[in-house]
Amino acid sequence: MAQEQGNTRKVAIYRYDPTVGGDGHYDHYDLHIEDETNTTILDVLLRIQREQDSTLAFRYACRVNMCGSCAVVINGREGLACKTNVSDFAESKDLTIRPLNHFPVVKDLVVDMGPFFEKYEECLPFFEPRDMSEEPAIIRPDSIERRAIGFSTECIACGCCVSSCTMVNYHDGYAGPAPLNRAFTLLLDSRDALYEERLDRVLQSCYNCRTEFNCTEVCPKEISCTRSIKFIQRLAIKEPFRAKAKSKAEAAASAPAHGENVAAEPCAAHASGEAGQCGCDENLDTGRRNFLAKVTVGLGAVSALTVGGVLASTFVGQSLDKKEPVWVPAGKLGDLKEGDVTTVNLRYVENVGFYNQERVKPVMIYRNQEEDKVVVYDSRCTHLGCSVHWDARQKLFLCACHGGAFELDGSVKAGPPPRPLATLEHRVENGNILIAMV
Amino acid sequence: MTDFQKVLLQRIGWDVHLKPFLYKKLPTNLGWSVTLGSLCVMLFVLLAVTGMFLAMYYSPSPDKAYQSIEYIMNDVPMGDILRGIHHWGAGAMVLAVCLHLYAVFFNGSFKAPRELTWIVGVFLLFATLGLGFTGYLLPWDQKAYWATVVATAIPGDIPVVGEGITSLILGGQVSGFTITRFYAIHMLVLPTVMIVLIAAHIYLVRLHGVSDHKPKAKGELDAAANHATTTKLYRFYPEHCGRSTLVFIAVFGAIIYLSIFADIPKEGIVGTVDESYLPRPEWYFMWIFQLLTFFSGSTEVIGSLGIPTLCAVVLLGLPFIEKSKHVGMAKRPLATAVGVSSAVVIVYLTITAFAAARDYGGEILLPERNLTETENAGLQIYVKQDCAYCHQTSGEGGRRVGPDMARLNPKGRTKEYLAAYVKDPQAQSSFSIMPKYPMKQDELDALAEFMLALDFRDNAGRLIEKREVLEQGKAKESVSLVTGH
Ligand code: SF4
Ligand code: SF4
Ligand code: FES
Ligand code: FES
Repeated sequence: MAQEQGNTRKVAIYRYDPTVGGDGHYDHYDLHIEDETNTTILDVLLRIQREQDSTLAFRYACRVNMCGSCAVVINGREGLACKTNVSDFAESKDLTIRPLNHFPVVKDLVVDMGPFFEKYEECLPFFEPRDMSEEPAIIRPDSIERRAIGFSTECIACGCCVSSCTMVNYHDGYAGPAPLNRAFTLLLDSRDALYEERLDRVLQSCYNCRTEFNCTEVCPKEISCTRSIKFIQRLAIKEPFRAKAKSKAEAAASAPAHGENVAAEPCAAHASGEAGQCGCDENLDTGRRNFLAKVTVGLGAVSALTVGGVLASTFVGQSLDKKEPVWVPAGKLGDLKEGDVTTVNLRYVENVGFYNQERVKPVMIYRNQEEDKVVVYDSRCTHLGCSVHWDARQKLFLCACHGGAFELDGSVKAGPPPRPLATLEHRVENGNILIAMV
Repeated sequence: MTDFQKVLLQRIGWDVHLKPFLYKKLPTNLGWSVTLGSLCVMLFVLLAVTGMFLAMYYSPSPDKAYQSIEYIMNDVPMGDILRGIHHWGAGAMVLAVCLHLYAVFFNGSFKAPRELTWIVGVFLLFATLGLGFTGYLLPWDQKAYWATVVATAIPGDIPVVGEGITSLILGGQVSGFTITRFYAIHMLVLPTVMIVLIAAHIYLVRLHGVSDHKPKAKGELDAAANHATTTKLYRFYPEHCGRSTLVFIAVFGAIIYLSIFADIPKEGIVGTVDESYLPRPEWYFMWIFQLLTFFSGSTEVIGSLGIPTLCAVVLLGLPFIEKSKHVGMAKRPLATAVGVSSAVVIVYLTITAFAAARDYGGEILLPERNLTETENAGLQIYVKQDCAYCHQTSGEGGRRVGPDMARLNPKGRTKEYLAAYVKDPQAQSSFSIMPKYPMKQDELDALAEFMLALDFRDNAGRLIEKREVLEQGKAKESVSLVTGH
C-alpha cells in the first residue's frame, strides 16, 4: 500500500575518498519518498546513509536553517540541505547533490571551510567598541543606520554565496560575498571603532565583484551581498570627505594640548637626565646664553637684510623705468592705402641700457582721408602680446596665438583678448608720418 | 683589507653613515614606478653636465646668442649631439618628473607622514618647468622670443602689480637684459634651488622611508618579522640602483637616438618678421597654451591665471585635501577618477593644440567624381578666399569656426541661398559671425555650386593639396590668355 503512494527518485551524489584521491565520481541511488513536501534533501542524505550506504559523508547540525553547516549544491544550485524540500524539484527530475564550489573537498559532500573563514577574518568580522559604557549601546530599529544594514546581519556563514560567485574563482585575493557582507554590517555600525582599518581591508577586494547577483540569488537567508558590496563601494567614494571631516574634528579636539612645554625645556638631554652628553654647559648662566642667542639672530638678520636689499635693488634695476618713446618715420602719408589698412614694418634702433638693438616691428595704419582719420594700431595682441596681422580678405586683425580677432576699429570680435587693440601716437610732418614706439 | 683601506673607510664614516645609506632595505613589493624618482635625478645630472659644456661656447647677448648656438651646432665637433642631449634630455626630464608625480599620486604615497616630501617634490616640478622655460629663451630664436612674450604677459592680468611683475621678469622688456637674466636664472639660480630641493627630498624620503604600497597591520608585521629570511631582499644598492640604471639607460638611449637622428626644430632669429609664423611653446606647455583659447574677453583671466594657479594650489595642498589613510588606486576611487581625468584632459589638450597648429586649409576634400567647369571655378575661389581656414569639410581641415561644408546638402540649402549668404551673412542670419564677401554675382554662384558639390553622403571623397589647386588655376588662366577666351 505504501508502495503506491509517493515517488521514487534517482539520486546522484558526488563521492570523493581522500585515501584514494583523484577527481571523485558520482554514485547513484534510488530512493522511494512517500511525502515529498515533508522530506528535505537532508532527510534524503540521512536515509541513504542509514539505508543504503553508511560510508556517505556530509555535514549538518541544527536541521532548522540556523547553523549553515549543511550547504551543498543541489541540481546545480547552492542551498541548505535542511531547507530544501524534495518537492521543490519536479517529480520527474532526478536529484544531483555535490559539495560547494571553490572549497577544497574533505570527503564526499564535506568541504574545508578553512580558507573561507580565513578570508572572513581578514575583513575583521568582529566588533570593537568605540566607547566603553556600562549601559548597552542601542541602535534603534527604526533608525536610518539600522534600516540600511537590513537583513545583512542574518548571515549564518553557510558559504552558498561564495560557492555561487564566479569571481571568487578568478581572483585569489577576492574576499567573496559573505566576508564583505559581514564587513558591511560593521562598517555601518556607528558603535564600532575599526571603521578605517576594516574599510582598508575590504576596498582592495570589493572591486572584484562584477555585480552578477549570483550570491543574492542563492542566499538561504535572502541577504543581498551584492547590495552590501555596492554599499562599500559607495563608502569608498565618500571616504575622502569623511576622512577630512574627521581629521578636522581631531585637530579641533587636540589643539589646546599642544604648545605648552616647548620653550620650557632648554635642552632635551637635560630633561631626560643625560646632562653632560648634550654638549651644552649647565653652568653657563641662562641670561648670558639668551643674550648670545639674540645677538646671533639679530646680527644674522641684519646681514641677511643688507644682502637682500642689495640683491633686490639690483634685481629691479632699470626694469620698472618708464621708457621714452622713439619717433620712427613710417613713410609718406600719401602712400598709404586710402580707406584701408597698411602694414608697415618699422625699423629703428632701440636703446636699452648699453644694448642698441635693431628692431623691426610691424604697425598697422588705417587711413581714411574723407573722415580725415589716421589710426596707428600696435601689432601687439592685447591678450598675451603675440603679433597681430591685418587680414584684408576678412577685414579683421587676426592673432595666430589663440585665435583672437579684432574689428577695423580695434574692438575685439572674437577670441581671448580682453581689450581693444592699442593705438600708437603719431604725428605728421611735411607729409611724413612719424610713430611713437615704446 | 689593507690597513690603509680600513683607515680610509673609518675616516669617511663608512660603517656609520655611508654603508647603512647604501644598503638600506626597501619594501619588497615596490613596482617599477619607484625608479622614476631616481630617473629624475639621473636626468638632472645629465642636463647639468651637458649644460656646463654648452656654456663654454654659448654667449648670452642678443647679437651673439643665436650665432653661438649655430656655432655649437655646426662647428663644434659633436656640438650638435651635445645640444641634442641637453634639448631632448630636458623634455625627458619634464616627462619623468610628471610621471613620478602621477605615480606617487596614484599610489597615495604622499600621505602622512610624507606631506613635506610631496610639497618639496611639487616645488621640484615648478623648478623643472622653470628651467625648461628659461632654457628655451637662450637660443634667441622666434620660438624663444614669442614663448617668452606670451608667458611673461600672463602675470600682466593681475590687477595693479601685474605689469610690474612682467617687467621684473623680463628686466624691462624683451632685450639683452632678458637674456642675461634668464641665463643667470637658468644656469645659477634654478640649478642651486634644484640641488637644495633634491637633497631635501631625498633626505625626507629616507627619513620616512619609501612608502609601502600594501601596508601591513601590526600583527601581520610581527608575523612577517618571524619569516624575514624567506622574503626576498630589495635594497637601495644594488637592487634598486640596478633597476633604476636599467630604466635610465633605456631613456638615455632614446635621447642619444634623437640627438643623432632627429633635428632640433630650427627657427629664425628674434626679430624676423613673418606673418605666417605661429608662436608655439615647447610641447610640455602646449596644453596650457591650448587652455587659453577656451576663454574669451572678461573670462580670459580664468584660463591664463585662474586655472594654472588653482592647479598649483591643489598640487601643493593635496596632502591636506585628501586625508584618508588609504593608499593605492583601488581604495581611492574618487582620487583615482580625478587623477585619470586630469591626465586625460592634459593629453587631450596637448593633442588638440598640436592639431590646431597645423596649416589650416592645406588640404581640400573633394567628391570622387570630376568637377564641372563652374564647380572648378568655385573651387578656385574657395581656395583663394581660404574658406577652409574656418570651415571643415566632413571633419577635414579648418578651425571649425563655421559650419561643416558637408552638412549643407543634408540641410537642403539652395544655390541662391548660399550665394546670398556668402555675400552678406548678417542679412540672412543676424547672429552670423562670418565676414561679408562682396564678390561678383557669377563668382558667388560658382562658389555656391561648388559648395553644393561637397556631398559626401555616398562617397568618401578625396583629399587634394591646396597648392595643387592653385597651380591648376594658374594653368587655366594662362590657357585662356593664349586662346583669348
Ligand atoms: S550571505 Fe547568505 S549565502 Fe552567504 S554565507 Fe551568509 S547566509 Fe550563507
Ligand atoms: S554579485 Fe558580486 S559577490 Fe555576488 S556572486 Fe556576483 S560577483 Fe560574486
Ligand atoms: S543543518 Fe544547520 S542549516 Fe542546515
Ligand atoms: S596673444 Fe593674441 S590671442 Fe592670445
